[in-house]
Amino acid sequence: MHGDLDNLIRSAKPATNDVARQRVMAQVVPAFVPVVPTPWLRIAAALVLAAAAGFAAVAWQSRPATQGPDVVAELQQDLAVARARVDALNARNLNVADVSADSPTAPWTQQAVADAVRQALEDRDRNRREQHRERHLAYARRHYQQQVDAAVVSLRGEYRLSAEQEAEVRKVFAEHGTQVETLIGRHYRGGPRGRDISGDFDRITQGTQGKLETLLSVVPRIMPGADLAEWGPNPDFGSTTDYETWLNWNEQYGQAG
Amino acid sequence: MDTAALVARAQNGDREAFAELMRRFFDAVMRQIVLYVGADRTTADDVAQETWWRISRGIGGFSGRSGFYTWACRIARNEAHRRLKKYRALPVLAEPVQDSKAERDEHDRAELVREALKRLPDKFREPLVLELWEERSVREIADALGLPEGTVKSRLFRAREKFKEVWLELTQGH
Repeated sequence: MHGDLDNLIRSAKPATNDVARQRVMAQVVPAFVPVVPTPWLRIAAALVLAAAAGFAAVAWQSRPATQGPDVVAELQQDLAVARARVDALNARNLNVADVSADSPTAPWTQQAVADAVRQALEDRDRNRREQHRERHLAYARRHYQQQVDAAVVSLRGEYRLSAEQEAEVRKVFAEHGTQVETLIGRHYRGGPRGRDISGDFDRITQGTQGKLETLLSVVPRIMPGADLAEWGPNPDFGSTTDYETWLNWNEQYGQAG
Repeated sequence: MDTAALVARAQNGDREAFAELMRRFFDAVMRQIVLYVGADRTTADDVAQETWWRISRGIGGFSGRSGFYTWACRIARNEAHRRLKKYRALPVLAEPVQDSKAERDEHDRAELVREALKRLPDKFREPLVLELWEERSVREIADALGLPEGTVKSRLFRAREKFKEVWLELTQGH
């Protein structure tokens, strides 16, 4: 039986013609692009990734203590905000059936969506302000003490400070540093914010200089922390933050509140 | 040189190895294409060309989890389906009808056999046609399908059983 079936199947063998094979081969074979085998591509990709990771590790280690904006972290925060908004919508029993049954243009639906979007945007901006605040404060803490040390060395050489005077000067600078940190902290959370930060810095600087004048009978030329009012569009602010971003941020939030 | 070695060389850009794969499998794949698209020679030729073009471009990504022939047949079948879907509304020119009644009967029976083969699962049809149409040995079929020889023998046996069932079903219905 199998022999009969085999012959039956053999009898239905479709004919092929050499012309078709030669024609297709003539078109395909010359155009055959030498293919880099996938394993090599993977190895090459792995090497590239490894090299990139190495560079990233070096870059990471060489970064200052304060980090620039972490895009992934920001995205995660945005996602968390979005999830929270979905939860909020769920809490209001907003589901597809409701939206379908009730016109999507129903006021309560539109309001719910508008609220969710506005809340998400506000949350995102609040998160960003907090990140900027922390970076600014960290930058101030890292650099201010160095500037104080440099200023004290300069004053010591210029005015021949005694040990007691030096201790007093350091105390005044420490108070000034606390005021600076407070000012920066408030700048991002309401109160005197935006471009007024420069005016506020001027005011506390004048106060500090007054104390130093009382102490030393002169007004020192060097004031630590003077650059902190101008802080922002520099590498410490973050690799993705340019001057335009900083200005826009100040335009949008600095003058409000 | 076995198929796997040819594939590896082709993946490294060896044009002659790819040409050898074409010579070795072109007719076998073409006969599968005829199963899929029918007797229209122009359509079969077009599908074959597109199939081999796709094979030439995609061989770098061929993982070797299946045999080369199996992989090529999958591409051919996908291309045939794409072609049939695209041109379903167009009339298909069949092969010239044979003059004598005997030839017409033979042609009809061949079509019926091919229909029965089409109804077999790939895992049975592929070794069966490789053996009976391409006259490949069990070892060669194992090489083409990327299977152990024992598995090929088992599938050939079951393929014949399955074909018999389908054939009887088709011919009794006629």
